[in-house]
Amino acid sequence: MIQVNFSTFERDRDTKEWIKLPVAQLIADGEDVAISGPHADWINPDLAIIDPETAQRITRADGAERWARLLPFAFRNGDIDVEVSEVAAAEPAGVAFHYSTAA
Amino acid sequence: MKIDAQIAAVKATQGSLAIERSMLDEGFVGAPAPTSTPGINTTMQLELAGGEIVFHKPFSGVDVANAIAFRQTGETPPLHEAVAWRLAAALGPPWQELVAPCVLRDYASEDGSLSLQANGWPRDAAPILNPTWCLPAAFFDSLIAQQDRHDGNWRWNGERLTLIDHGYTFASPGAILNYSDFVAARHEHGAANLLTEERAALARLLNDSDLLGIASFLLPARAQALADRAKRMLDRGEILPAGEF
Repeated sequence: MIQVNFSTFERDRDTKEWIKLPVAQLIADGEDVAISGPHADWINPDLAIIDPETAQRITRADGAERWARLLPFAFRNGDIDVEVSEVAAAEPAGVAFHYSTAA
Repeated sequence: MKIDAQIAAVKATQGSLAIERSMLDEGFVGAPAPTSTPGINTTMQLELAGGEIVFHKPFSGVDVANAIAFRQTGETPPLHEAVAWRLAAALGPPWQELVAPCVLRDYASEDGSLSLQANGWPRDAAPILNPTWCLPAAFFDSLIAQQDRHDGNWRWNGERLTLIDHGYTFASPGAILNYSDFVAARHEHGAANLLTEERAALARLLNDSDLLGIASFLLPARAQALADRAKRMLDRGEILPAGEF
């Protein structure tokens, strides 16, 4: 199971500290993807990503976990931080949008 | 680097606009944002002394495998970030207002591109559906051979569009296309024909032997490809189809 946390950083003008703000959490489990969080709509479950190893366009249909691991390659600008980790079975907190490629 | 001459040419030109001067002259305040992963192209989020938030992408931080997959090189993404802005600035409005300003500048002894933070959020379809934003964005992406304009690579704040992430632009003919959403939308809506101001901009670009300075910022083959695209657009009277570089 792959967990991808998306976040942004805002500057606190008074303390001069960076404040980390959650955007969304994506869980890829087998062929299923669930996206939750305050800005879950910012994450496109149908996004195709170029796999650097093969130069092929990879979508969720090519394997949700493979696709999830490639997500950092789609967020190169720097304003949305993407953290990918392998996790044991877990359920995202709160309401999540579920996407499946299974028939 | 193989692009030292191009980097030097950009640095010799940038700084004429006030926002560029701020981005070049102001010091950085404090440490970069503590991003949880180095990310692709090792981008640093920083604050300038004037309060602007910027993103630094060092040449040394390019993910080479990803760049090569797009038929870029391990050096070109930060250069192309800056050249896309230089072209937008050279063309003037409306394109200048669409693109996040970018300069080449070092941070922590690492040379790289420094882009201004765009205001707004990703994935809003409003600018795709609005000709005021879609038409110039599509023209610009067609001209710069943008390879990856997906809906996470623009920001919309409810009033205006900002195009971000121009590392994978100035593609070589035959290079891979991932997305070109504005170009595709303009064709799908039957609006591919060039507008008067777009013809004028292309003519201005082609009538200058140095492509308004841009030729000296790009590797020669990519500069020639830019001129070829501009000529094809003028000859056909429309923006190029998505993926025709």
